[in-house]
Amino acid sequence: MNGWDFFTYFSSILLAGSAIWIFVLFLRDAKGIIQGSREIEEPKED
Amino acid sequence: MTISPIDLTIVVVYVCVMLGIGYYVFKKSPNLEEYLLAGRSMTTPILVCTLASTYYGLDVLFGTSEIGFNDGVVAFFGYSEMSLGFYVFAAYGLSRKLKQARFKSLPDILSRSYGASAGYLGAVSSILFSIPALSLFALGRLSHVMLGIDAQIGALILGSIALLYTLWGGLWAVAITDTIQFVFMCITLAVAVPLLMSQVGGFEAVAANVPATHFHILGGIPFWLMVAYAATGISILVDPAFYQRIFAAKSFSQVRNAMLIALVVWGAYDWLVTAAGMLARTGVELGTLPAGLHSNDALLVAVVMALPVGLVGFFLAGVLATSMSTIDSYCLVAGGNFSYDLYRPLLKPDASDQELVRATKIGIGISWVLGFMLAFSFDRLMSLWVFNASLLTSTVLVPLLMSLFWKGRKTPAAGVSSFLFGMVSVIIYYFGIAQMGTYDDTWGTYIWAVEIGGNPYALWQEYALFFSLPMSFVGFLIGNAFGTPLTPSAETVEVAS
Repeated sequence: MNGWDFFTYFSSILLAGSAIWIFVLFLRDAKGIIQGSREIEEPKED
Repeated sequence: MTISPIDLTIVVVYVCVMLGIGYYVFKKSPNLEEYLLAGRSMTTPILVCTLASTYYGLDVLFGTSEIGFNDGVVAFFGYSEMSLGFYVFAAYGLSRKLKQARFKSLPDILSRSYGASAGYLGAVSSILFSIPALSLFALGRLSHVMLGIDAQIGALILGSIALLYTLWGGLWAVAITDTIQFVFMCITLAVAVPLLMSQVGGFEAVAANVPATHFHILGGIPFWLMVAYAATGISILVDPAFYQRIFAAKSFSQVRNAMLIALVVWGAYDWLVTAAGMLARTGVELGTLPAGLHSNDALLVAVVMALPVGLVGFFLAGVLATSMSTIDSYCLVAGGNFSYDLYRPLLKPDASDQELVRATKIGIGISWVLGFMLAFSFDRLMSLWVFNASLLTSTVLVPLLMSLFWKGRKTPAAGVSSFLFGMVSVIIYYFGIAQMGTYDDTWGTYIWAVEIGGNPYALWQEYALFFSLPMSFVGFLIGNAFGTPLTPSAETVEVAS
């Protein structure tokens, strides 16, 4: 296995892992989405 | 391409789920802010998905893999990653200011700083950019290759599904469908590329079968062309769909985190698509893929070959949805520009929320129909899209950045003349190079070879922004010398602070 192979495996794990993690977080937020959550007011910049 | 009944069923179920999501949101009867901006309540996970899937359309999937197939790793190092600096600036430099000022659209920023005229010009430019001609054309071509149906009929059927769930559900429907599409695409690509790699024998086999130049990090591309390609990343700073997602975020930190996570995802995605192109080229050289395989189809054919039955269906559904997610996002932007930035201020300032939602839906329909008509009327659709992107950047970027970051005097004349100087210079440059230069089949663009002081130079059509952006800035300075600034309202003070 050369460096390009390793980079490809690493990118695959990173991409699949990110997608699964983000989807789990999305499902966690889904309840709020269905019920209708609200914007958080931004503090003013100095 | 032959598709198994199981995979076809997955594609059909997937399309039905998209429609179901749109209908579910429709039943909640969203008001204008919920319809256009998802009630400004999007959190990081859904922002990551909708940002990634909106920007990573078919151009990246097939364009980057095609460059990987023909030219190698330069697709990743030269074309894709050099523009990421603009995304970091967008995450840190733009997001907070945009979020604080509670804008509704990109032209809204211009009209608050420079008055109504600049807002109307910005709206027209944004609508032209958002007409989904290229995406509808690509969707038709895909449905022809994948499902064997006529391209126009495929674009009509699948494009109508994207239109329908967008009309029903607005940004929520767009973002939720983007999320599902994003997950399918990432996982199927992450499974397919290592499988493809093991089938062709890894990158040692790639090195043995493709030209050595495929591993040159910056390839043989002219320096200024590389800079020009990297500069195309600047378009994110004027992309109305990107702005819409910032305005829709629940808070600044949610959108900043989403941008930073999306950068990592984009990097991994870019490499896998590049690698898939190179592995497909190796497959062709080894005889495991058809000898006459077109570089544009390489990714699709190679990945379908690598994946087992079942996952192919998810991949194909993801590919179709990649195109549909671009169509839905930009139709919605065009609809919002039509209703909020043109119809409301020009025709009905006291329009109710429900009237504006209705006008937005009409705008979505008009932009879709225009996109469909253009998609099958022009031969050089990609050139038309590149010109529209250059036009939007040349006209809007300078007044927009000055609006957000320049605390000094800003007059309505500055906004309008910056827009007009940018527009005229990009048109003159484009058509000037087309008249004076010659069309290069290898690069697919017009190039004008000139000699200045005995030194030869080549002016490419892609260099337009190098001329039009300085001209737009000159226009801003000239215009700013005339007229008086708008009476500062609470909102404009907020933008400049």
